[in-house]
Amino acid sequence: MLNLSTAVFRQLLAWPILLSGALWLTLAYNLSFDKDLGAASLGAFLSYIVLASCALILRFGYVLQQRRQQGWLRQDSLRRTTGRAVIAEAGAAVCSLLLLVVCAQLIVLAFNPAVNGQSESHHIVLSRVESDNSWAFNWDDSIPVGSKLCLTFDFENAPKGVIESSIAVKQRSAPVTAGKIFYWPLSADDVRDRTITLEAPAEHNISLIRPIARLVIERPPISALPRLLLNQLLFFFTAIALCLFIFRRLKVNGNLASMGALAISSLPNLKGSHLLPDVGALVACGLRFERTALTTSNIALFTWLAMGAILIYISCKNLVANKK
Amino acid sequence: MIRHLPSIFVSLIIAFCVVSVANGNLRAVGQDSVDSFRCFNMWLDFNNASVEANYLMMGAIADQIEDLSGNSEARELSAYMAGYSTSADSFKRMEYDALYWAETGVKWLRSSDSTRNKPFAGLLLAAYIYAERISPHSFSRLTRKQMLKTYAAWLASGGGPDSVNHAVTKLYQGYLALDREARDNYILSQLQQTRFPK
Repeated sequence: MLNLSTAVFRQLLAWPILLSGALWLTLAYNLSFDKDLGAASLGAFLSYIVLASCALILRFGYVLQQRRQQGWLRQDSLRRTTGRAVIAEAGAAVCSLLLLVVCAQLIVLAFNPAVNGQSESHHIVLSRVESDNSWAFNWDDSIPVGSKLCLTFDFENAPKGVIESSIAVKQRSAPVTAGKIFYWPLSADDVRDRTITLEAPAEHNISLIRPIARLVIERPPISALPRLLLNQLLFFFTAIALCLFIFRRLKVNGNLASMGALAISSLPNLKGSHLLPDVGALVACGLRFERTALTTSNIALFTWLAMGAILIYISCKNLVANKK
Repeated sequence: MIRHLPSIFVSLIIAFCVVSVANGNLRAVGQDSVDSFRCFNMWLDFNNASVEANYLMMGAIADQIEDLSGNSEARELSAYMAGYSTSADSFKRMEYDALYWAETGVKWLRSSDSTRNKPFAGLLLAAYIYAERISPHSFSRLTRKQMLKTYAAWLASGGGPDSVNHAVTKLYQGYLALDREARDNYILSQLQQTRFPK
């Protein structure tokens, strides 16, 4: 099985592919962290790694199709052809992804680039007026615990001499001062509910300047990169399993299977759909990645991984027809 | 036909995803990555447009950068260049041309108050464009009202989250201590005494 796995791995990462990967990593590093060119953003770097991972999944589909056309080379050497071939192929694909994320981590460790100096980022939050002295806020994504609401209150119509007031939610309360930004730290419950309603004392007659209400989210430091890359690897594990399932079990063309696997992997991000676990944040990347990065719950993650394991298990079963 | 059913099914899923992405109901894996790269290219275009002083192009690109990345720096920079710095008398622009771009700069800022990631610096910029570039040529009450409202909102924010200057908080509290009739003149005198920080 190890021989077959090594052979598939070599086929996956042929020399031209390895060279392209190295060039891609160099480009990714420069476009993300270069002093003049880059966005100095970890999210930008992650986005190039996600693209490389997607390309590897497509390459995996192509290699599977090639192996089918070549008559399943080296598969006869296996004692139990049915299951072990699938495991060997999955192992090769996971190892190639592992190589990519390890190289991505090493390049950052070696050069220790400077990332955006601001530890927090500001994001839009939807707000609506509930009553004259209360306002509701809501957001679509799962945001990290520890995020804050950043609010500006207008004391224009407050009684003369009132420059202090308070904002309350249930039993919690915090003071607000005229001319100072007000921060409301969101609790784990608020983050889970994706909504919160703040209330001010009616007698103070203060109002929220709604267009400039924002969510403040802490940016993951560069030391969080290993965890972010590991998240990507875990996400693509199930994509690999999906690709193998579609290819081996449904007997679909390898290229189509890899595209289908990527399409199905995108479905957890579908608005209003709760069919698949909410694991979109595992591949959070881009210039707004901090909004969702590291927010995947353990239950969702383990469900996603279990789905991958089950798909590989089903793919291992009853593949007599694939024997040469 | 039955042999091709799985392929048809997978193709249908791919088609569904493509349509959902086009409708904005789905973020495909890697879509943020593509947007990130597009954003990088847009910054290059934005720099070229700023070198060529193509303000319309700058505004259009800034709009797209904000939409893709949530970063409003390009928006504020284009409003500053088009509506403030190059509208100064020292720039020797035609009066109507300077006024047109000042109004355009303010329009860009006002229309994006709720979408800029950090709207605070833009509020101050808009107030100064009103005060220094538009008000001397326009006696509209609406302009005056917008200017006062924008500056008051900036004061209420204490200069924004990055401000380390407590003077803005004191200014706002001083503003609130005044009678309503005196507040407008307080803001006007502040705008006349100070200049937009570079």
